[in-house]
Amino acid sequence: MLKKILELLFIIMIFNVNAAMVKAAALPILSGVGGEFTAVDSNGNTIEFNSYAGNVVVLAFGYTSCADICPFTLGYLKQLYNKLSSEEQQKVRILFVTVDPEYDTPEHLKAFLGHFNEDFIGISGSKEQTDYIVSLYQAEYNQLSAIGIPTQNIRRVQPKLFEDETEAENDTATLFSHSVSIYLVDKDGFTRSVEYTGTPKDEFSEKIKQLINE
Amino acid sequence: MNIIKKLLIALLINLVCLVPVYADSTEHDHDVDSRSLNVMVSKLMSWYGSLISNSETLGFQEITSDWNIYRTQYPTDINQIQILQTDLTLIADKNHYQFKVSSLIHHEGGRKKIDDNFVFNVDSDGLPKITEISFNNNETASSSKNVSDEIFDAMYYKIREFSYAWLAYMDGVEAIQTVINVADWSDAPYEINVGSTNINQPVKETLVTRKQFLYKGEHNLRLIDLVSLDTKTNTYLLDLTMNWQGVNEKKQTVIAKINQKIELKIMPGGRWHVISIKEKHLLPDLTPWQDLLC
Repeated sequence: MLKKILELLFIIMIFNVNAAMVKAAALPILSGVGGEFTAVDSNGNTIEFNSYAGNVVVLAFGYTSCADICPFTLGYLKQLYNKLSSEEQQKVRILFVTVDPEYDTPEHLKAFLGHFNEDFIGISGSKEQTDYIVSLYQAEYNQLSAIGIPTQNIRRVQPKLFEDETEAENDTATLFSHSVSIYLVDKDGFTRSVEYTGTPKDEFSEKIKQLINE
Repeated sequence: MNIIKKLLIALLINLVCLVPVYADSTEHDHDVDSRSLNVMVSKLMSWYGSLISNSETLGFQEITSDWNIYRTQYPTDINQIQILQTDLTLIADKNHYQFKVSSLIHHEGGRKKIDDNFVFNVDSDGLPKITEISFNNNETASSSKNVSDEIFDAMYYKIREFSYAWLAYMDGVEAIQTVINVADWSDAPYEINVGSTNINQPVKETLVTRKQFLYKGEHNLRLIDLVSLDTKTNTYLLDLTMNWQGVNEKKQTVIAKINQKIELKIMPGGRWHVISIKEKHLLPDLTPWQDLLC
């Protein structure tokens, strides 16, 4: 009998520790980071950000002509997404917001993101709309080249195929530098954490699960 | 025996893990700490400002006779006071604080380094009362090591007296409003941009609406800058950047980095009159890579 009581006490104490550690690791709301916006998703539909309410959102900025950090970030997000169960994945939306809406049409974004995961959602729209999203998340981007560069000269995840040389020369894109942060947004639309590809994926996925379970 | 060992280990883990949680859970005590800190610093700004020669026209908040007996310890011809270091510690019990301040006094006769030690007693409203000042002013500074190009005159302290009192007022210390004369400018426009939310109301109403986001917590001043806009009308632009930590109306933990641009003018008798306030919530300083571009 005494042994059973002691074992019960042991279980309660361990439960206490877990509860304490969860509380200690609570993710605060980052006031003023993120908010409501209107844009166009990679299916060409106009969306309001609050249409994702009830889901945990992971949001990153980039563009499809980006040769380095964007493919790396999306590869990271693909692995991160795969750490979630299919049930958890249904409660998470991965948004990739382009900083080059002129070139990144919904079709471009859909093809590009499909290379990583078809569940990923591209966000585009007018320049004003994407600039507004960038400002909401207090991110930044800069145009690196004044003139368009033929996309055949840009290392791409999916090399583009052209009918002839003229078409190849006319298909140009601009290069940008942009913020590398990855924003974790809770089910109410509040930004709760800012991560990057250096965050261990287990640590990041635990934060996502924590927000799913809130 | 085995289960007793397990229990002891579990008890030890409990003790270690519960310490930070307990520390976070003392919300009321935390409030008193924060309120008192901003009020204490505002009072210290008044004290140092009032020690500077010809500061009477700026009208610092009243210094009680308890404080005034210490005035004779300072030179009478002070031009500037440069605070070099501060250290706040809680002493004895939760209601007593010790504020150590090292400063470099610039006066007609030269420079003198003074170490002041203020002891505050915090009353039930969270307002601090000075109970003791002690100092060591034997050292005459001969080195120019600590001398800054910045001007630490009475105006330097006047604007900090206002700023810390304003932070304390936003923290909920109603009694401090007499220092900043809120009643005189409570109808001034106060605009806040928090993400996609814009609030643009008179000061008294914006402060109420603001509580939806920042219900209860602490404002901690990080940066302060004052630019003169019009010398004829004594109009200035005060730029404040502060961190905030607390809870929103739903008791969820919130952190913020807040920038306020306050247009204000100084009236006869040293009363501040706020013309407008614009507030923006910035990305809090979380990580070294958050501003990285690729």
